Amino acid sequence: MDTTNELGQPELLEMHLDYDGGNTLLEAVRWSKFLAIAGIAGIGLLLIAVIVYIPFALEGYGQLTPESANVIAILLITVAFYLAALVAAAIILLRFSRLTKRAMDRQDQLMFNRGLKSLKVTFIILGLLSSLSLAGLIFGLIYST
Amino acid sequence: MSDTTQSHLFELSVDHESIDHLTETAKWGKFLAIVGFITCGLLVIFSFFVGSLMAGTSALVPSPYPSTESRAVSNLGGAFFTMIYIIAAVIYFFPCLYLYRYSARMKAALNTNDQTKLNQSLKSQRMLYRYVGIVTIITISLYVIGLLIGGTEMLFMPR
Repeated sequence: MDTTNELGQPELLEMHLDYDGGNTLLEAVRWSKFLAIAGIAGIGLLLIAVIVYIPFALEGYGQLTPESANVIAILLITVAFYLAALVAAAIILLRFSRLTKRAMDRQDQLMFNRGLKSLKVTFIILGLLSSLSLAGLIFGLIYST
Repeated sequence: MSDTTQSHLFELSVDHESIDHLTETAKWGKFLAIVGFITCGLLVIFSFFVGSLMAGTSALVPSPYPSTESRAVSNLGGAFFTMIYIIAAVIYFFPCLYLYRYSARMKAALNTNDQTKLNQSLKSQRMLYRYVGIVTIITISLYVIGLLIGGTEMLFMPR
């Protein structure tokens, strides 16, 4: 079987999005769109609640000691950044689902690649957040024992 | 219509740029899955400590009930939380498994240029999104039912 292109270079890639893979990906894209929208709505509301709660927490804990107010402030701001990063990941996942669906409708290779790039960025954000969470969990377990 | 036309219904292919994105996605996916498995393990381990923690804290708090009754209640509470953590670990395990399968199969597909493995990888990805989607729908439904019940109780509460 000839696996070289017209320039005589080897064609490394023989995979394509066939009927089976394409239909599977279509369903995956539909579910990921739902997850992205649910994530943006749910986590977004939570983020707003945390941001609104910060001044009240500072006022309440500030009456105990100034140090406790600082600790609470740092904790809540960290949580707010974490939630903001999750919302960003959900927005990029939505971008993946929209671009991939559109690419499959129009058979646009460039758009398909952009969709895959968005999926990659989503996984990178989630990976970084997961490692931070795991580090925090292990630290918390060690500190509590 | 020939088989070729049907198998090439989608004209999109896995080109060099796609391979780069998919390779890195598979790497991060595998890492996420492993972190997920570790978290599941920690949840299970912690669930066994919750019971003893609850028994310990209840011993510090004075109770109006006889000691045997309050001990039984705290043991029951501890067992309940242990069960909750184990159920949470089981629910969390499956998306990690699907994610791991997606990543491992995608990596194998890209290394060997195997169309079948690519399709299997996409199926794992679909299972992942479908599972998490169904769990999300159930969770949202439970929240809505809880809010409705709470709201109805407040409406009909005697003043």
